[in-house]
Amino acid sequence: MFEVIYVEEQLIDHPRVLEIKKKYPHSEIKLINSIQDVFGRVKKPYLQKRFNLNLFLGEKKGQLVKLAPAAYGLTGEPHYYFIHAYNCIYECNYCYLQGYFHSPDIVLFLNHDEISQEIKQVAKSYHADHPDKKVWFHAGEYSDSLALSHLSGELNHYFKLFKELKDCKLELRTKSINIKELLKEEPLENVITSFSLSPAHRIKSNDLKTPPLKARLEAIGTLVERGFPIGIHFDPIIYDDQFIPSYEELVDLLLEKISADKIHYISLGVVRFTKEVYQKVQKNYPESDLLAQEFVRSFDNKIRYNRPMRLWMLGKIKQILLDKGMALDRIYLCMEDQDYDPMVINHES
Amino acid sequence: MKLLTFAHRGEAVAFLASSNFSPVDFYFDGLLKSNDCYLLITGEGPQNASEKTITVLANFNQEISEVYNLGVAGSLTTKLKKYDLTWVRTAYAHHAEKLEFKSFSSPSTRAEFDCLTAFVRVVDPNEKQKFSLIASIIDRELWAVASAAHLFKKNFYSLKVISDDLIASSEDICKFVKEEAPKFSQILFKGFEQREFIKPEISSPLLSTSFTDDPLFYLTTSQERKLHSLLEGLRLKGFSLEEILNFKEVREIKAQEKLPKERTRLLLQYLIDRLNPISAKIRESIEDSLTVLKEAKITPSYDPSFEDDWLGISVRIQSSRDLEKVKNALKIFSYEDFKKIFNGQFDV
Repeated sequence: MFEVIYVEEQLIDHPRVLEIKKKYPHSEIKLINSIQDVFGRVKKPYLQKRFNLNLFLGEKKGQLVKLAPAAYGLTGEPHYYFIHAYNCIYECNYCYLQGYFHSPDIVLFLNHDEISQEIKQVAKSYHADHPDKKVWFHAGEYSDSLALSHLSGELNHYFKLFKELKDCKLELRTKSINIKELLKEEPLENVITSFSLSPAHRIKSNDLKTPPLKARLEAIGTLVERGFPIGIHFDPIIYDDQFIPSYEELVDLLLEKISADKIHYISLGVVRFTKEVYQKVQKNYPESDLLAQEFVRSFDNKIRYNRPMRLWMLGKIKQILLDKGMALDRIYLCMEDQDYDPMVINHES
Repeated sequence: MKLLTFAHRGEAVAFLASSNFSPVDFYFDGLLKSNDCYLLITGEGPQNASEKTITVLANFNQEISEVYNLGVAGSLTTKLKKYDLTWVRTAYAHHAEKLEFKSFSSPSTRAEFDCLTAFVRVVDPNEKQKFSLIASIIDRELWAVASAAHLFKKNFYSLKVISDDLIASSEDICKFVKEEAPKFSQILFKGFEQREFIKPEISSPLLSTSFTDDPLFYLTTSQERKLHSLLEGLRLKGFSLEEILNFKEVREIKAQEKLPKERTRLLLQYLIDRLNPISAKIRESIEDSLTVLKEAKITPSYDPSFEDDWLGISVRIQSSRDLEKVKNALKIFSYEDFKKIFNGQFDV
């Protein structure tokens, strides 16, 4: 899987490094001073990940926990994300990672103790001023939280941490069905595994190299049976001729695996790109029907459907969810301007 | 037609012997032409390669469809030994003691190794070790040739034969080329002749010509561009040209007694709506909500991208009756209904 494994010199005897080396005996090992000396120093084409994927093992420097953008999660609570990895083994053709790091290679950071310390510090400072509020931490801003969990092996570390941090929540965001490591843990009320789902045909045409819908739903079913809290992301929502029936079917299939009252939240997000990422999509996926959609530059300069269309789409899906028993206060919009939140508008009308 | 580039004549001898090449009277020596390709001897180093490749491409841009760089390279990996042959995947460069951020990738599907082009000859083993973190082979020209090809929007391919570490360590490149060049050239030529994986690009027929060549339509340059992008959008959504030409509405537009300019306007609007049915519905709903204003001869305007919910109106009043009409229309008009459409509340 990995052609070359680059290891920061100080980590050569790290137990995780030794384990990974054992798992990939045919990968060439190269020692480096720092990940920054090699990773992203030259522009490596994104699609080269199909034939030549390298792995970097190192320690994250600088700020380890960052404030999430506005409208990232449930409103009224602060959201932070921590960085334990860069890049993803999947190839979603709308993904912003194709324009982000200038390299598709996978980076795993192994200094989880330092990351944990910073999480504790952030939580402590926030709770000093807001003792009654929960603080959210998200893993998976720059990578899938579960896809490589068997390699990175950090889940146990964060489960232990959040068992202590009862006033905080951890979201593990994924499209993966790699739940083996997760199942080794005891479920915690404040650690939520959230799955990104789309209608089956959209997964096939957009979420390249990811597990199909059926497999993701199976994984959700297994986790529900074992008592793990589940969140759902319908993101990115893409319009096509089958838009409404395909989301009706998706919700039905989802509710066969998990009852509406057990879903902690469902976030809705319509497909969006920065200008740079959209140009990458044009270059990397010239035959994608994403390029046949009518997008405009929207309120935050991102490229999206026009405002009435995206609010219509969000409103339709919200209505489908409400009709099938999902509570309104568990549905939220991801990365939309709250000034014209259709959840409010349509609910009042 | 292909453009084959070599740093040294010695590397090209097998190619020169294979075809009837004749010199081209050009700004500099080293450009030859056969029936199906140009062959350029660039000289050593990225500056020579860049200057000469760009000049040739600028002069023969229409004729040349793809660019090849062929020659020897040093190995930076144990996986590639002397006389091994490899197609290059991505070209990187090292210049003025730092890595160039920009890289160029070949569409070659069988390429497995990356090449780093050094702007100066590399003899220090530590430097080689450092470069081996980035690429598996090292040369002196490829990045410059690939950059030139990129400038002229041509695909580039590169075939390299491994000279072991001679290139990197030898102080006398000419001696090396003279001694071993015929053998390296033969290996390159054999590999080049087996390049069956590089399929000639089949350009898809321009869908828009079915309309632009039709005297029933008259398109300005910008309309032509718009038409092309609409047809391309429909193609990506799975419609063939035949299906598009057979849309009932397209046939009806063609049959209408209209001037070509008007017919074109109708065609473009239809294709826009067909490609974006929800936007068409939004436009229709907005127009419906404005009917009362239009009936009073008030000209409404709104954000054509639908992103902002402003409404502009202009009206010419020439009598008290006109004024009353406008007043009544504004009383009846529901701005809230207009705004609701922008908030996603419309029927589909």
